[in-house]
Amino acid sequence: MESGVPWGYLIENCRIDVAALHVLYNYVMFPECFSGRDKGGCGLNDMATLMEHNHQDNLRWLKENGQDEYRCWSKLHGQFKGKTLVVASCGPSLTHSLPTLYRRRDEFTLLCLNRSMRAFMDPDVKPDFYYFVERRGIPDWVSEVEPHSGSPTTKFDLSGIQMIGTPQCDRNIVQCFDPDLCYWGYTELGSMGHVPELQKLEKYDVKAATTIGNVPFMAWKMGFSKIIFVGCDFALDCHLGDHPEGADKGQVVQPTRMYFDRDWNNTHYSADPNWIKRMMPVMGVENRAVMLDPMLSGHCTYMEAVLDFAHYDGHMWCCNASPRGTLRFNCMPLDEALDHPGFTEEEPVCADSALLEDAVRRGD
Amino acid sequence: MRIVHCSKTPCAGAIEALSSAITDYTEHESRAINSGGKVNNLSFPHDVIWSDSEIFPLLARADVIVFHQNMNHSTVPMADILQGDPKKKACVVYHSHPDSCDKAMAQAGFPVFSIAQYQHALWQDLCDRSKVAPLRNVIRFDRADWPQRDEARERRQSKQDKIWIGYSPTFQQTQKGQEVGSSIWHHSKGYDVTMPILEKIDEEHENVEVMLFEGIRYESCIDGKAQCDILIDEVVTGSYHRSTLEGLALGVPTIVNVRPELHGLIVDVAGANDFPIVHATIENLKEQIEWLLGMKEQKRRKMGNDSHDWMARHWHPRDIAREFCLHLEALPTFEEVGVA
Repeated sequence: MESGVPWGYLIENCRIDVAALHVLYNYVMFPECFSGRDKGGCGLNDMATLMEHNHQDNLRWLKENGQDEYRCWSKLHGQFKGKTLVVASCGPSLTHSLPTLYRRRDEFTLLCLNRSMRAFMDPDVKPDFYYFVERRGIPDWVSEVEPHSGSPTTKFDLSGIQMIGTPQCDRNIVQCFDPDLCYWGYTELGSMGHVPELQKLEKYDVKAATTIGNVPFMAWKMGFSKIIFVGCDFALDCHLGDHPEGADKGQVVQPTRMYFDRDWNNTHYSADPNWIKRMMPVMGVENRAVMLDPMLSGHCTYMEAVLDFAHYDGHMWCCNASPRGTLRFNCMPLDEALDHPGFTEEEPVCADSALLEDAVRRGD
Repeated sequence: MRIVHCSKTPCAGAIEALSSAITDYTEHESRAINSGGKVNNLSFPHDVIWSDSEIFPLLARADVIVFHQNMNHSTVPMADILQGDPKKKACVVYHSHPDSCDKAMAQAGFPVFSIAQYQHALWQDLCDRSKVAPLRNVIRFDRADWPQRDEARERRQSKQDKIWIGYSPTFQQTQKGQEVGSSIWHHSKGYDVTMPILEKIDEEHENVEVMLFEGIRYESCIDGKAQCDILIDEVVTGSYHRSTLEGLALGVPTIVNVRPELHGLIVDVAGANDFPIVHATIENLKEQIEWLLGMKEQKRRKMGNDSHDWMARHWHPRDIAREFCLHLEALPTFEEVGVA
């Protein structure tokens, strides 16, 4: 990068706040490109500082709610040097990756998010970590459900899985984990955060509205050398089907799958005509057509920015091994990604590194 | 090999029977998954119902995926699992008339097995003949819980002195779509034309009791058949069904109409010279029943014993499982089948 030239990552700003489900925020690494209008734009280390503040805030929250003790996730910092983290997200392509993930399960640390844990409940393939930041979870993330009513039935055996989350998360989910394996103190810097600094941000906030967007930073703090994403589609599967008003009207592109274990027609989104109107077919990874909507597009570009920063600035080798979808960052097949040596010359700049210490000392 | 059978219906317990026989008699590991649950609210013993959290590891680790009846390789999550590991092998087993099955796999060029009953010829007509192999329907008469005929008869709660004739139509009435030759014609087992004959027999013979087995649990149905002296599968379509095999394995003389060409297929796949059924058509059903009624009980028992022995020699689950596994070992991989 040429010194003194302002640049940054421009995240598609999709302020389509459907039923207040999500609001995406611009995430800007270098505030100068916005001529000083931004009050909180920062780099990864500045973000770490904010995280620490948020951590302190969570601690206060816990104590105010009668909990004196908790395991701070900082105990995990720097513990995984030289290790590979595979992050299994919930996108439809995850099923494609499962045979390889099961076959090579002992070669990596596995982190699941939300419903992706369902695919790893066999005792031999259980995840090491579950990252959870939702205020309201869905029962089938942690239990079998009755197919028609959706009522939870058998709870999954989650013993041995370490949960990283925040005390503000949905207790119905949090309580399913062994309390001794729950690590608190990490949350997104979004609406969940209580950090006073965040309240001052007026524009171009450092905020993420997607759970997986936080994972590169977490992995970086934990010291991982490699991080590989699977099921990270930010898109729906689709196919060519007959026009809804009859085959004589030709063919249309239709969504087919939304999650790895759910077809489109079994999701509540399918009943929402407005949602479907916003979707567009696009060519994704490996030239496979997928469907995209502005919200997914925003998540995806945010993720690409975070990965770019973690990979080139944090020196944690990042790659997307999802065989479909729209996330275009160092894409390669899963086997190839697992075999890749990562960065061989330079160690990741880890959480306990001098860089971070400097950032904290500066009081950023 | 790790084998996973996938289906949307229990196929009258046939899939679980095949899968468990593979596990019991070969060095291979086999699991059956029924994604559709119960059919007509009936389940079968040992049925495995789809559980989302179990299905993915099972499928992803399988060396061979055996699709049954209405499942195909392009459905969720099969397509992803097969494409994610193109060295996996896959085939399809059809248990019914082609019009009642999802033909996508046969059309895509996957190896096809069809149950060695009436439908085998139909599948041969539909596909490349060399890719369709007949498969014997497995009856688990080797299991410890399989009822013993003589013990079962002692459990008769009434009318012990009568000769019991058992009949188990899948559907009672000829319904729309069950016209002669239709895809589900075979399911009715000629109820409309068979029942009047059985009623007449019941009327004319004081010592006869006609027993209908329908809409009851599989275990009760088998136990009921074991208590019978004569069993009728069906005499209208020219094919035998699982009911015939169950009757033979239980040691009960069994009446069925088997067309000559199908008879040829049976003795061929069984490696036998005969098929120990009592052959009848709708025209001579009454006559054949009366022939059996006129026999000494000892002779009927001897016929039953012989049929049980025939099943043990020619239709043993052990032999069927081993033969099927030889076929599975020789299957092409998903990659080799060349499905896009």
